[in-house]
Amino acid sequence: MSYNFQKWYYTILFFLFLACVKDDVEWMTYDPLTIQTQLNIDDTDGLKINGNSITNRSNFNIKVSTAGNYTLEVLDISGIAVTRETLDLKHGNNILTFYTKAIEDGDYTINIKRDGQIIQSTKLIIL
Amino acid sequence: MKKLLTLFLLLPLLSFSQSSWTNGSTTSSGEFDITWEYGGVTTEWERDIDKVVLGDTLIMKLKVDNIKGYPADYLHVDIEHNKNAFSVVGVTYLTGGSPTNSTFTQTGYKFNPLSAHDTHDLYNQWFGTTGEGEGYGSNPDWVINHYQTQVVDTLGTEIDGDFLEIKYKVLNTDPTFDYTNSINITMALAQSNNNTTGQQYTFSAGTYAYPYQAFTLDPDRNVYLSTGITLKSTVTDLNPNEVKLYLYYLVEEENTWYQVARSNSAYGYDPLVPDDNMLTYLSNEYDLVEGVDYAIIYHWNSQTDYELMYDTYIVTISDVALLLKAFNESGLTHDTFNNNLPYAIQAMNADVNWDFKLDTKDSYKLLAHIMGVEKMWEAAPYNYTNGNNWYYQSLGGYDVDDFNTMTIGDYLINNNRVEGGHLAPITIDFTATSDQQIEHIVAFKGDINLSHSPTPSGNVTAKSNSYMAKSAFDPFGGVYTPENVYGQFGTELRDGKVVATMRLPLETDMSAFQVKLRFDDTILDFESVQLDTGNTTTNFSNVKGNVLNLGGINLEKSNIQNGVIEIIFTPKENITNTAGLITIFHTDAADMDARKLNLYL
Repeated sequence: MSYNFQKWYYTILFFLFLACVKDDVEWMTYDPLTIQTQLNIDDTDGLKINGNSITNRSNFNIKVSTAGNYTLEVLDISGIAVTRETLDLKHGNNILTFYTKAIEDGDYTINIKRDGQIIQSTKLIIL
Repeated sequence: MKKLLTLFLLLPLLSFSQSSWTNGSTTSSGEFDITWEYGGVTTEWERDIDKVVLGDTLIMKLKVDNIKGYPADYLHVDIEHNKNAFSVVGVTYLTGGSPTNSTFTQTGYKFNPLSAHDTHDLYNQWFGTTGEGEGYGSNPDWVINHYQTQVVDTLGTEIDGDFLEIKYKVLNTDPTFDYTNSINITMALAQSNNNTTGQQYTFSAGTYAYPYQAFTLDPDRNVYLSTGITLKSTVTDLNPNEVKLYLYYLVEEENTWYQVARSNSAYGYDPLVPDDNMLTYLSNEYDLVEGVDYAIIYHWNSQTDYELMYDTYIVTISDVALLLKAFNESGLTHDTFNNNLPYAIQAMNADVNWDFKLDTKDSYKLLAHIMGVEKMWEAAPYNYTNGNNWYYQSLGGYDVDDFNTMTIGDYLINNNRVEGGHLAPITIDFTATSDQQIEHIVAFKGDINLSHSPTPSGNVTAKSNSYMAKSAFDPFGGVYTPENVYGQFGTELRDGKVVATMRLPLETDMSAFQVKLRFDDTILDFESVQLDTGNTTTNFSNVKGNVLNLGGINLEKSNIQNGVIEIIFTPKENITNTAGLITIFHTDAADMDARKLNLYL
């Protein structure tokens, strides 16, 4: 076989291999498309975290019907805010990362606020 | 263990004399020997003879050794004792079978051995005549007891081994009383009517006191605690899983404290771990002695845990603000302290350099600790535990009475020191007849506003030099509830940096604030802090590991201005948001009156 034939043969073979690989293999965990599938939210607005007890970091999806500035705050079990982030969210799904190394283990509440009002809330255990 | 502790405990108290036996013959007679055996005291059979105390009842056994082998069926022994030293409170004949026993007593006599015979030669002392020496003579201090057993059965019963058990109660409280040879075997007669010759045999060739003839007692005159003790600690924020307790005693001659017991089972010591209610039980087996000073000390299992608790929650910027206010009001007068630090424990907590004065050295040291420049416990004036005691400068114990009644005047002017802060002296009632509870106070050095130390519950105006009438003080007169104030905090991505922004609440005039944050150092590199708090505020910030400690205090009697703080981090990787990367785990603040504020961000 000529060199050019081999080059095209193996190139086509490689793409066929890629086409056959499953979308959710572990080494593609942070692929945004995959996460959107995992954290799909049927409603027009919502908050979904990849797991309700997490270590180190996890992804979450905030789906909003109105783009704009939102606040994510994390409250400890006594209701005191331990962290707060200002988010500029687009319409629809917003896949983000939640980091937990700087947060003590425990039970927490995550609130999504707009204009000071809670629009979404969920519980979370950090281990 | 108990004996070891007792030995250490009594070394400074014991005289060099001790209880002892006076030998009879130096060798056995080869026929019939009589001797003593100590059997403990009635309340404790295993009590060491050197631990016999006044009032105990000794169990003394008279034993015989029939070496000749002719079955002894008659024995008569005279024993004298000093009635000022002992009284006989019980006699039991120990020969088996059904012997005929008889006892009689002659009071007011003492035996003076016959000079013609050895003192230990009990038979010849018995059969001797007045022409051979002295014999019995009148003596009002002595008593003669005559003990006699005759075996009358045909069962082959012999007098051998244990013959008598005599119980002597220890008398006399005169510390100079001489107990030398105060119990003594004086004479004896032993016979056998069933020997191999079929005729009566008298052990005349040798009925000896061997090896012991007389007894000298040196009673332990210490008064021991007969009850158990429950040690009760009044303190907040002590975790019994993290705290252990030591009990010490003072050897005055050496001016050194030694350990009685501690809670460390790894070394075989009895556990003294406080329970959830900070109660620790100490049984009476530790032989605590009246007249000895005792003190307790707390030990933290983990330096890391203690540092976190102490640095983060207990000693904070509002403590510094309160001390500085006391200094700034009108100089270092005691009226100032009266208004700002009404309780003596506050002054003791504020005296962080342990010189029994309150001055700017204390405020500097305290501020340096808050700012993370210097740890208060790194230079210890007291170190009884080879440096293993991480809190020795910061955790103080106090006798509860001292705690409740002592005044700042006592502390600063009269120099009536309460040796708290390391060892907490405790007062034990040695007259107690049932278990007693001893309460002590634990407070934290540097906790000037008593946020985590107990407030005296007693009459704090007691004693003559009172500079701290309770009625003159408002904030701590009862339950002091800090005001809640609310600021703002948020993180965001800005121009590729992660920025945390704080806005202090300025509607309440604030003289000091402190915030501790933790950040994810696997994602972020700390870059800088920008504090906009006005020109007269002294700010500080430092990073240790993934913890950022920042704050400010106004030393010019004016409030903090603007109150905007920005903390900037550089991400180590591409990130799309900052949720959870920076968290607040402690805040503290003080108003212009140096009252603690609950700062929420």
